[in-house]
Amino acid sequence: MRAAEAPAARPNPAGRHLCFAYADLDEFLTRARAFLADGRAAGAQVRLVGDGLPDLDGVRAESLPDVYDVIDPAAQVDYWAGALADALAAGHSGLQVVGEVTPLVRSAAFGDYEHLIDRFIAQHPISGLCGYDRRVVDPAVLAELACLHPWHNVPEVPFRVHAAAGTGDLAISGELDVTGAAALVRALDRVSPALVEGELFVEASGLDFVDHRSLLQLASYARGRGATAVLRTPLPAAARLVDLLQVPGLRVEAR
Amino acid sequence: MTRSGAAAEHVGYFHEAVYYDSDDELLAVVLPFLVGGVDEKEPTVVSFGPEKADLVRRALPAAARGGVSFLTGGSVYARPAAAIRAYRELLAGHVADGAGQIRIVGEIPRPSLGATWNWWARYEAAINQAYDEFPLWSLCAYDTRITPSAVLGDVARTHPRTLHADGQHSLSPSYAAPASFLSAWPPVALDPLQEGPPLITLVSPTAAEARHAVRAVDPGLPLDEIEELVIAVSEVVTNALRHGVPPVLVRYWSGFDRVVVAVTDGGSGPTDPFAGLLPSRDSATGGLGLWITHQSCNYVAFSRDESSFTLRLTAGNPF
Repeated sequence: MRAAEAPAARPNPAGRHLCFAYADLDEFLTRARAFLADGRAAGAQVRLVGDGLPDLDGVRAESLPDVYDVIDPAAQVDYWAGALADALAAGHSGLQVVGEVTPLVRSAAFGDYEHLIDRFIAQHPISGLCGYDRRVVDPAVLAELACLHPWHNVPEVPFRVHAAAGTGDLAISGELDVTGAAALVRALDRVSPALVEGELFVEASGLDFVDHRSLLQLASYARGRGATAVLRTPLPAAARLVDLLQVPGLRVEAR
Repeated sequence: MTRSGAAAEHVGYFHEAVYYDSDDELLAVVLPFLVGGVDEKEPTVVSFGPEKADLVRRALPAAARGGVSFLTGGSVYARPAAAIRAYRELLAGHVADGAGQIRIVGEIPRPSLGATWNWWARYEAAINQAYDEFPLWSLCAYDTRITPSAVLGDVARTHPRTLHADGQHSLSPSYAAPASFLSAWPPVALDPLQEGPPLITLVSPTAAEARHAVRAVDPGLPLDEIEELVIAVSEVVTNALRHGVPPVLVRYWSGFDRVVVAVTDGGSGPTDPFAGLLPSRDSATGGLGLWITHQSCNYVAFSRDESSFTLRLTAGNPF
């Protein structure tokens, strides 16, 4: 992937990738203003992208079509890699972007892009706040997209499938139970994590709960790819359930 | 492969109760059973607490001692569903190794004859089915000096046979088929904590809300016990929301040594009489969740009335 060659990784490169769903535009703009202020304070270049948005504290809103052409996930990540390189070259510490991306949800490839940019953000000094208008986006679609961010505010999907900061490895955080079961399956299919010698490592230090259904789903996904899922989590419940269920395709590393 | 002794002509599980009121009476039954097993080169197991195990070990003839294995420490009988799982693994292992019969003599520890007897009675009924695929001959010993009469009544209803001190075998006239015993739903005594108002009452919460409330009422139990209760509450509430009849009422009590959670819905509870006790691979009906619940709590009690079904879960010391 060309994006990975762009700016060299720095000692503390990981950015933040947030999903903010709102039902009131002012609520989103307040959050966006704070996010841009954080970036400015950290010496990052700041950008604001979204149709029909007002300028925020002197940051001019760029229109979506100017930044996101047709959604080609890899090309779009390359675009941000180039923008980051330019920002660093100009002496900024990184890049901090607010995007009101609701209109992009129509593209089936947008979810792939969200995950690809998440992996890039996890290893580079670029941060993004993605705004979604709850009044417009189908709730199931919103859940699917929200859970691809390391942080989101969508209670219907109580977990996150994201890239681990620094390494970019697959991480799962939050609570996995029946509430998010359908979204978990789709997220795993979407991110299609890499296998290492037949094992699929899941960094789960941020996992707060996992029930037996989710463990069975993870095992079933791994088996479908001819692999064993390795859940790295200190949660005693995970180790105990795996021991009880004796599920092929899954083991827990307590750490 | 052949079987020996009283169970020689029997297929499947040969389940006998033994009632004794002295050490001598216990040994009179147990020693010939064990020596016979060793003589026949059958896997022969004693599953007693440390004192009774010592008594048996000292009384065994030297030649037989090496052929008897002792499961002590009481961990086998910590929880019924865990006991079934451990014994089934043990039995399957012996059968895979070519055993024609396995002999086990065991005793449910004294504390389980009290507050938590209800689920041990269900255990004694369920194992008639759970162990029936194995060529097992087992004796379940009950000390009549300390066993309450209601418990003895359940023992007679759950054991098809009795082995007497004089060596005679008899059929138990009050034996009830497991499915019928388990479907009778005898009333379960309330935990005294339930006489006070619950600390928290949730109406049709999400599983996550129900889990978080467990931590809010934790009086400081060991972390593992709370984690296990959190797993159980999540499973039971998920089942109630999916398979029960709304509203689902979740109530929480705590004392200095335990947490009690009661989950009530307007349905009639699981239709499978063995629910929770037998291993299930079926996640769709809630059977697997209920089995995990039984593996994760120190007591699970079912109760049913005309209009609702309640599952009560206890972490810490059940009362």
